[in-house]
Parts: sequence; structure tokens; C-alpha cells
Amino acid sequence: MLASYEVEREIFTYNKQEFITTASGNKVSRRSVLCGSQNIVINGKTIIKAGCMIRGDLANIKLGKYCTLEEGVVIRPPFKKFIKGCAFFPIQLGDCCLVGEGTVVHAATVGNFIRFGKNCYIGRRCIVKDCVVVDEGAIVKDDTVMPPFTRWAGSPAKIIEELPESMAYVLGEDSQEYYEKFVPGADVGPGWGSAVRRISAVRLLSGVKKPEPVSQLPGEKAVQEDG
Amino acid sequence: MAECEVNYACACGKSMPLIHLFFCKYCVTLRCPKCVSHEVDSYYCPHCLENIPSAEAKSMKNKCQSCLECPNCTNILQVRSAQVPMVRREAGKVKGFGQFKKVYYLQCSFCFWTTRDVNQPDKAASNGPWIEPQVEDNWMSGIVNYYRHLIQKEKVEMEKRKRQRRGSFLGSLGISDKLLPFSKLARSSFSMNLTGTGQFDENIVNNFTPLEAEEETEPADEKYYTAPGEPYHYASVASRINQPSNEVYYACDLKPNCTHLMVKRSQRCRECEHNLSKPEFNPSSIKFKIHQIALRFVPRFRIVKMVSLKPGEFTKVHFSLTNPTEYNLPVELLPLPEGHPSYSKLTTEIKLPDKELMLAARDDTAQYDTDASIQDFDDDPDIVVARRMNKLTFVISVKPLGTSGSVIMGFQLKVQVQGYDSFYST
Repeated sequence: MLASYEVEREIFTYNKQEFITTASGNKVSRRSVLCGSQNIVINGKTIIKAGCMIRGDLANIKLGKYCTLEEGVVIRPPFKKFIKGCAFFPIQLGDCCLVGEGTVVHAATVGNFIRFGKNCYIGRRCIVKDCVVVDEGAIVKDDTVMPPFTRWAGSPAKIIEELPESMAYVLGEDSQEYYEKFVPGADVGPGWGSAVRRISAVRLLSGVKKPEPVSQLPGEKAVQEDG
Repeated sequence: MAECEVNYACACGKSMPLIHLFFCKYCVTLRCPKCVSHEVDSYYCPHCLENIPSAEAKSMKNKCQSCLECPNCTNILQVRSAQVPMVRREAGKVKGFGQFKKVYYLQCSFCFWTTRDVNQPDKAASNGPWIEPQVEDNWMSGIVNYYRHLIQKEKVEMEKRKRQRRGSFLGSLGISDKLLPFSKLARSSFSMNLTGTGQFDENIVNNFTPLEAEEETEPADEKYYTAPGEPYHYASVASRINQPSNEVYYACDLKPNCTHLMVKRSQRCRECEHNLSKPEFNPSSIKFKIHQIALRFVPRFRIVKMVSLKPGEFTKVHFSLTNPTEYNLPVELLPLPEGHPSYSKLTTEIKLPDKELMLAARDDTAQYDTDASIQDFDDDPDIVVARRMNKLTFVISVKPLGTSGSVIMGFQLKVQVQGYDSFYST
């Protein structure tokens, strides 16, 4: 069943030491791996969590605003074989995309207002248009074109449902809410050592202290202090 | 995210989430997908995203002729080229030239099915039709033809009866219908039908014999009883259903399928006939020319956090209302009237805020303005918990009446829509 986003997201506090916050509001985990960072352009207010691997060394990668890459996501530019070797194509992700844990994105272009579930595989040279939802565990074949307002599931992935016309509005609001509720917690002490090059399974390092939860967002005016 | 539903009631009484509903500003009410009429705006292929004119779509049975699907896994087939040696036959012997020519065939990149598996000959050119248009010469076309003629016959008979009822005065004057210009127009417009012809063949209509069921059927071939089963030789049920006209039994008879077209549709309120949703022509676009979704007019009610409720006791639960409009919106929460269809489904007793709540206007630039001062509203601290831009978090006390089962609460939301009368949403 399609999620209707009727329960608000919980405030997620992260360890301030873990994430680098840039001037444009990007929050990149120190435990993520960004290869070829000079080829990676992130538009702003994007969250890249631990274990993500972005292969900018192969081709240019562009991420839009309010994108969220969960743990273990791999963004790898697609390639095409020619007679004399192969060439890598640039990859582009639009605004307000949420890529689930462990998903591998091999697509050529990904539009705006996208939801990829956990452990999906988006095939090579796929063209994902705006407002597309891919369910958990879906395997999208190479060279698939995913038209707007569709929901895909299965292996091989097929269109299982057409989305309502208001989906762009809902997904855009949800992505913005995700970013607003991703707040730094209080400092919990020194960092935890050098970054891990590749994390195959998502797990917290032992000994990492979790910050104390926050009940209120910055900028939110509390009328009643005892909530 | 936790499992829960927030449903808004449409004017017809059906409840569904707000993302599915439209708001008709002429009727000042919500409309569900059942209360709107759908019209097809345009057809497009989901693979090549090309617009197909409706006449062509109809003639091609709503399929794209250029995009072909694998009969096994419904993946789009790709054109592959291969080099085949050119040969010459002389005096019964085959001699090679030493030269190669390029041939093209279709291959699926997922399951590696190819047109060579079904002995479809390779083509010399990569473009052009891969599937020959089917000529319907089987009994199905006979049935369609029969019904076409039957419809024509019934229309002609109905027209005769109407003329006999209406035309008695004219008939008495001795004026024939053919001389009257208006009747000619009426006749020509009446004959413009789906079949396109105004005449029918009496022989086809009278001589058609329906199928009759027989008790005795043809005996099955002996090989079905004696030969070992080779399931991969037979086409799967899913493959056969995708090709009903081919009547395929063996996998070697499968042919590539044409991709079904998708539709861009516009939606119209059934009561006032105004458009509620009209998409843009471009298949890749998510923009709309008319986009009256309920989310842009009606405040969105959401649960802030799921809490555990105790049966028989009031528990304070935080909810939020988000204002989608660009002006301050006063809302009032009223109890559900007893005559409402959903009243019998309620399993809770709730204490609603007794005062009017004021929702701040939506301001898209506020996210960039860090020094923006929050507008002061005279909020009751017992009801309103927090305020952030156009969102208001408040408290409703909920008391489940039963000891188990789902917790269902309901109320009416009175919204003052700017420029219109107050609008009640349940």
C-alpha cells in the first residue's frame, strides 16, 4: 500500500562530529566515501549518510536540493561498451530525492521527487522521470524508462500502480521535513577514528555515543514547555 | 513509519487520504476519484515517451509499434547487430565471398531471450516494423463483423420507428423525407457511428450461427501421456495471457509484444462540470495547467507522534495542522454530528479544542530568512503546543472506549476558505 505520510517524521539527532556541514546546508558523513569529489556537485541541503559511496572519479555526478542518501547507498555512473573500450556517462539526481539503504543507483538521469526503497538496484542507463516511487527490493532492468507518476516493484520491476496527481507536493514536503528534522545533537566527545573505506553491512561502530534526543526543532516556538 | 490513516470524507461520504482528493472551488467541497469524470487527454508510450495521436492509438489497439517487449519478462527488447558471412549458391554448392553483412535481431537484456530463439529471421535494417500487422482471418473477426452489421441493422430499424412516430403529419402531406433538408442532416449525423458505414448486409446477420457446446472433444495426442514432460518447451501462462490473439502453446511460437500505451487524463467535477485537473501535454512533465488538489486548499491534519493509549483514560496526543494557503487561516474543530455515516465507526471519545485555531500563512521564502520573526498569535498554552511557520501543533485528549482493536476518532474541521463560504471537512 502506498504510504500516505500521515504520521510526521521523528526528529533524528546525529553526532555533530560525524557530519560535515557545508555553507549551503549539505550534511555529509565523514564515514561516506566520495571518490573524485571535484566532479561531484551537490546543490544544497542534502544529507549523505554513513557508508555511502559516490563514484565521482568515473564521471560527473550532480545531486539536487533536499536529497537524502541513506546508509550504504552507491551512486555509480553508468557506462556503455563501444568497440574501442567503454565510456562512463554523467549521472544527475534531481531535487527532493530519498534513496533508501543499500540501494545501488546506476541510472543515467534521476528526476525530482523520487523515492527509492531499501536494497533496490536501478539498472544502467535508466532514465527515471519525476515523481517515481520504487518499492523495497526492486530490481530495475537496464535501459528502463520510468515515466512520471508511476510506482515500480518486483524483480524485474514493473509498474504496479499509478500515483495520484498530488504526489509531487507530498514528496517535496516530506523531503523538506526530513532535512528539517535531521538536527545535530549535543557534542559527545572526540571522534572515532579514520573513515571506513567501504561498509558492506550497516552497523554502528561500538563505542560511538549517541547524542541525546531533541524534542523541538530550532526555530520552533514552543508555547508549552513541558510538551 | 507507523501504520495509521488520516481520511477525509468526500461529499459523497466516502473517506480516503487527502492525497487522493480534489477540491472543487465552485462547489466548495472535496471530490474523491469516484466523484470526478475522467477524460483522456493524450496517449503516450511509457518507454519512448512519445505522444501518439488518438486516431493512431485506436487503430493500433493502444499499443506502440516501435517499442517491443520480451514475451518472457516484459523487458523492452533492444536491437543487436551481428555480422553474418555473405554466401552465394552456385551449381548446388555454397561458396563464401569472404565478406560479411550486418544483420539485426532483438534481444532482451534481462533474460537474454532473442528473436533467434523463436526462429524469427534477422533483418537487414535496424529500423522498420519487427512485427507484421496481424490480419484477423479467424473466427473472432467473423464475430466482430457480425455484431457490426447487427448494430447497423438495429439503428436503421430504430430510425424507421422514430420516423413513423414523428412523420405522420408530413407523410399525410405527401412530402418525402428525402426532400427535407433537416431530415437529411439528421440522417447523416445518425449514420456517423463507430463502424463508419451506414449499410448492413442482411445475409451476414441472418446466416450467423452461434457456437454450440459439444460433449465429446478431440482426444489428446499420445505424446502427452507417453513423452517425458519438458516444461521449458511450453509457454508460461503469463506469456500466453499477454498474447491472446496468437494462441501460443509452445515457447518457440512466442513473439515480441507491443508496449501498451499509457494515458494522460484530465478530471472534471461531475456536479458542476468544471475541470479539477488538467496535465500538460508533454508526457515527461509533472506540471499541470489546472491543478486543484485538496492539499493546496485544505489544511493537512497529521499525527505528530504515535503514543500508547490507555483504555478508558484520556491521553493527550499531539496533532498538527499545516496551512497550505498564503493567508492566515482560521480553523475550528467541531465534534462529528450523529447523522454522519462514519459516526457509528468511532471507537473513541475526544476532547477537542473549544477555541478557534489560527494557522499562519505559508511563506516559501521563510526557509531562507533565518532572522524571520514568528508572528504572535494569542495561543492558549493548554491547547497549542508549538508553532513553526505555517504548521501548528496542538493537543487533543483521546480516550479509547474499547479495550482492544483499532482506535478511530473523528471530527469536523471548519475552514474559512478565502473568497468563499466556510467549508466543512470531516
